[in-house]
Amino acid sequence: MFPLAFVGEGKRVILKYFAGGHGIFRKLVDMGLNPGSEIFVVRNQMAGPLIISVKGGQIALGRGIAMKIYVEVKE
Amino acid sequence: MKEVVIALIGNPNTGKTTIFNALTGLRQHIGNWPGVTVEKKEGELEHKGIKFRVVDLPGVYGLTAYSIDEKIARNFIVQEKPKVVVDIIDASNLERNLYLALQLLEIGANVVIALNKIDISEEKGYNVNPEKLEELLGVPVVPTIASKGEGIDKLKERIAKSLDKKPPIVEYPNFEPYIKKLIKVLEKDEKLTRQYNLRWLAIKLLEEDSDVRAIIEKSKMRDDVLKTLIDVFNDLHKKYDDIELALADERYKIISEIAKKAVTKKEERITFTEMLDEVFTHKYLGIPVFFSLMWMAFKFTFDVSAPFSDIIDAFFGWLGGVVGSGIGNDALASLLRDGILAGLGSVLVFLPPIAFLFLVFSWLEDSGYMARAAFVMDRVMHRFGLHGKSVVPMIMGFGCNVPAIMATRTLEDEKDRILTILINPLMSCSARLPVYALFAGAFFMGREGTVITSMYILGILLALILAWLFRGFIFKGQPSHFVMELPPYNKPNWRTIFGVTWTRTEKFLKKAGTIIFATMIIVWLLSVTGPSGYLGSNALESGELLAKSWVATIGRALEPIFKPFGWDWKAGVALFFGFLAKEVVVGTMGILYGVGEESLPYALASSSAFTPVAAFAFMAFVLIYVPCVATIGVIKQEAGTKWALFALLYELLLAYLVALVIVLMGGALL
Amino acid sequence: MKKTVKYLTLIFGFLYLIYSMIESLSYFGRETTVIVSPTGDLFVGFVLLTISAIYLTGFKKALKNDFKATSYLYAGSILSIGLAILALLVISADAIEAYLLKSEDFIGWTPLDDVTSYLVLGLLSIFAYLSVKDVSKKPVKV
Repeated sequence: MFPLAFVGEGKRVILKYFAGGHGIFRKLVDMGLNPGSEIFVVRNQMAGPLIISVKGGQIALGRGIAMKIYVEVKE
Repeated sequence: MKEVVIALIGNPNTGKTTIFNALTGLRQHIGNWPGVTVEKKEGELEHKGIKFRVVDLPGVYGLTAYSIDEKIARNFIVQEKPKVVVDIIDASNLERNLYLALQLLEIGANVVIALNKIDISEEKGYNVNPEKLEELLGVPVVPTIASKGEGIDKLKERIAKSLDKKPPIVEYPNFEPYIKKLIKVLEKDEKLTRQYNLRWLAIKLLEEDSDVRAIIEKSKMRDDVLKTLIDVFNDLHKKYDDIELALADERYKIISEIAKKAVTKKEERITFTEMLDEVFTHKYLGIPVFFSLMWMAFKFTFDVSAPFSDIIDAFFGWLGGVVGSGIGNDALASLLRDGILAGLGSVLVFLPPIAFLFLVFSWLEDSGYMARAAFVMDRVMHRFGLHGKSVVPMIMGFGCNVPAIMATRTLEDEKDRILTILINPLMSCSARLPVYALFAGAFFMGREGTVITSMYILGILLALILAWLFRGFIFKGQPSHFVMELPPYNKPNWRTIFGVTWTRTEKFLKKAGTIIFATMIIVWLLSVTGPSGYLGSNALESGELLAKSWVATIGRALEPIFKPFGWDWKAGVALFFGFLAKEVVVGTMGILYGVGEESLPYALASSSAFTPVAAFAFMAFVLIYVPCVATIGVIKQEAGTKWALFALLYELLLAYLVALVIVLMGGALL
Repeated sequence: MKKTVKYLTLIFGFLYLIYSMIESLSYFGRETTVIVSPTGDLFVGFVLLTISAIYLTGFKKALKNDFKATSYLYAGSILSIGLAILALLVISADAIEAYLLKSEDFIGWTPLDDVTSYLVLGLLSIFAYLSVKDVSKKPVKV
């Protein structure tokens, strides 16, 4: 398992868990990012925010928060 | 006839506003939700003799009461109990949108679903079957394409038919026994039973929702409920680490089952959005594209609006002439012509560029580009302690700081928002350009472009440095996390765009209009009167007379402050007036030097009042010292009196400091 | 299809590059007139350079047979046409000034004065746009 921020463009991963408290993660869950969901990394320029695609919608995520989202490669 | 209250709800970017407009037409009322600055829109709708009051709830992803928007939406549905809640669902993003729908059903709301944007889901290669969805969810589902007005009549009909429908109950298999156990205790309190959906209370208790917990605290069954809750938690914690997440998971499982049955995927297609985003969010191309679009926006704002401003200007000039010559009494004629009409004119001349600026930015927002702009610029902004979304108000500031500060409302975090507001006046607005042009033309012949550009760069640098400083000392911590949906690009939806443009322009007219107008009259009064009494309307044309006015008195009083820079009292007067509106500076200089604007540069250059260094310092001072009255007014409205005073103070100090540095450095170098 | 993308991105990439150079040079005082006279606005040079870069990036992708090359042709042509529409709006605004209001600043103005490089190039870009406008109606062939 590793942070979402390290996943390269064009890769598909599964969300495993959020590191650290509730708060902002509630909003992410509301936006379709619940543990177990499949994430497609659309943009990750290894600096600045990422763009991910989840459940058919696209979301921009700051690098800070992407470091706290742990994912696993999809088998 | 009794009004039936219905509510509109939906995720952001689902076309909710468009549906609201289509349902209510022009019968709308815009206000604020009690106690907060969140806009509340209401409208009327009549269908087959039933009168509806349609309340537009804020766009939300869920009802966890995490943000102020969610709290407003949830409280309205729970407490006001609208007869029907129309949930607008983006068909191209079905699973995420259904999450909100399930939460609405939990509350026990009578939901009607508008399945919007079915054209976009087709483009993406999906086919959502509305009948199947209706059958699976147990609530009416109406397919719509709001941007083309399709399906609206059908939606009205289904709303009217569903008035007394009983909403279905969604069951969460893994939690059902616990929910039932809690309901059994809760239903012993008749007051709760009457006021709330007990199932919803039970689910929220499992989620440890603080608002619902507070409701229970007041219940007569409080102790029993809490005891049961502890038992339930003991059981649940054996299975789940985080019950809230487990419940979310349960909802998404149900949704995914529904989606599997109602959605057929035809084929993989590349959408316009994907094609545009490939370029607009490109690692290297993204930022140049952003600046190109901003240049286009400003070119549009100023070049295309110019004739309209000229018409207004000419009209007020003409009207002033007519009124002035028609009235015998000099004081009265001057009050009307130079005070009221000139004041009104000076405000209204700005109306076209401001309306055009709002128009082009509303369009960029509506099209979906603004979210990309924030994405592209977040990296740069973050370094200075700003949020990605701060970039839009900052860029708008080059046009006019008033709408720019109002645009900071898109920032959810209070600290981010106030920080963005505070530095906004440093973005050199268009009103300051004439001052730069005048002084650059007079003292830096042949290098005007470079000198003027240096002012803009100075403004941006100071804004970023101050943002960094304020973040370090006042708003400690990091900018709030950047989380933002990137909606698919939209074709322009003119009705929505013009609607937004109009409401913003109207606000500008009301707020700025009254302030600028009132101050222009005060200026007039101070100019035509002096310690010796009324000077006559000629004071506005002749420098000699004006030197005897109150205005000159003020200028002389300010003179010692500006001594270090070598500016005389005329500069003081110009700066004093510039506080009202920056474009007044040039006109005032013209009056004080007794020449027209055409020959003013020569008059300035040949007078000994400014050396080139002093002139450069003066330009920098004009850039920084205070935003105009209207900007201060809008800061007060958006951030409060305390921050408005803070902005005023720090800018005066900063302006003085920068001007001093320029003069000292100039003196040392030359 | 792939050939069209390759040729169009190359041609437009170079056209925009040439005119961005002309516009930038004119800002620094070296006016060169090729068909239309430059505006002398450095920002015009910048915008044209950006569009050129978009097209040329597309060309690079097309050489590698990357299907994403189409995206660059599409986005580039959209921006180009947007710029041309802006130029047309400016012409109409100036026409109001000159003919309706008879402003002093616009004495002797003719619509030809406002025919700029980005207007002409933008109108030409319609060809680029037409070649890709229906891409998303067809399934992707990867």
